[in-house]
Amino acid sequence: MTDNAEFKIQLDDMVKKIKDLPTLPEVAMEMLQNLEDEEGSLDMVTEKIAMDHSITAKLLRLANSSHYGNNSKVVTLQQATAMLGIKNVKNLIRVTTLANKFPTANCPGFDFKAFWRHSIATAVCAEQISRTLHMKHDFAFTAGLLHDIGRLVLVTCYPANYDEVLRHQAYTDADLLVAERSIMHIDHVDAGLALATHWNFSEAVCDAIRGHHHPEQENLHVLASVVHIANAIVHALDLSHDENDRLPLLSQSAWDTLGLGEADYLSIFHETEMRFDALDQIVL
Amino acid sequence: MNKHYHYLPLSKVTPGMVLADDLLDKVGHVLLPASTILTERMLQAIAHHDIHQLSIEGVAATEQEDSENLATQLERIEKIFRHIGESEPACILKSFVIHYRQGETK
Repeated sequence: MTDNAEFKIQLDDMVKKIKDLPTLPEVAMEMLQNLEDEEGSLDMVTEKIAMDHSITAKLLRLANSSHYGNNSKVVTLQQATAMLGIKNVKNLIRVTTLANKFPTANCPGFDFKAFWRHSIATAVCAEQISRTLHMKHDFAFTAGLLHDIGRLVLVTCYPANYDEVLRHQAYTDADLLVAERSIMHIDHVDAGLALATHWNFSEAVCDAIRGHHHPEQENLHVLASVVHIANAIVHALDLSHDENDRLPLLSQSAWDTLGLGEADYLSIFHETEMRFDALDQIVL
Repeated sequence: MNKHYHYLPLSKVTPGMVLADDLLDKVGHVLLPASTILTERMLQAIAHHDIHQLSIEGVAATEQEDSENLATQLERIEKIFRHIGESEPACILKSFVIHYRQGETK
């Protein structure tokens, strides 16, 4: 009896494939790598995005959407960036370029739309959590957006293997990580970290990828706990519309680390649904 | 559900409903301003713009619809939380989500 050996993947091989992935546009890469300089010059950002019409159009739509509570019409890129603020502009660029430019693969079992809905919602939710906690850094959105990027790496580099993983998962109703390991002998955390290393993501984002399922590991950035809880909330609110969605194992230590009460959570749920709604309609 | 407006899929929007918000096309241009009373013709035109949902003003759902929606949502919650067992934080999170959904329809 042959087991699943035919779908097994070696880490080395995956790293090689990651190096062959096409890179994202330079503006986006820079914004995914450099999170420190969030207040950097607005003019420079405006100048860069003016060259990309699809991003410009999306920014105008976001600025004109009711979620930003504006009644006057925003017609120029300068008005839009001034209104949304540099942070929202950069976040929209990150989301748009990742969701529209990351290579896709032919894998019938993989729902790309549900994947992006999940990633964007987690980004929005992580940002709301960090806001509630008055955390100083603003990495939360980007960390949430990228936490599951390893799934995209696996499905892009190994579509047939990943299809088998998804079939196995649906059949056994197993946890995704368990299914990945039993079929491919590698999981989306490994894959995400390999990409994060290759693309030079910041330490905090790497920690969020590494710890989003097990934030209780030692020496992890607190962002790992934030993303872990945001991930759980997004599953709980059913935001990716994935029929077989399930809550992954929820870490007691992450729950305690955030120490939020019911009122906090209810307002985070509400804000997340509202903001996600606006972004989802514009990006996807 | 928000009391002043909510999103409806285009297929459920009928003539006579009122737009809660400016309707924008892909490039951010206003197709129809807020407060427009939608006509059959407009709805047909909208369908050509790759728009799938509209924000509609004050469509007060009937009580029966509300309770049906809530029942569907609670069922989804049961399904999503199907593997949690006795895990404490997961049980707490579940109760928060249930309260949240119940609070929305009040």
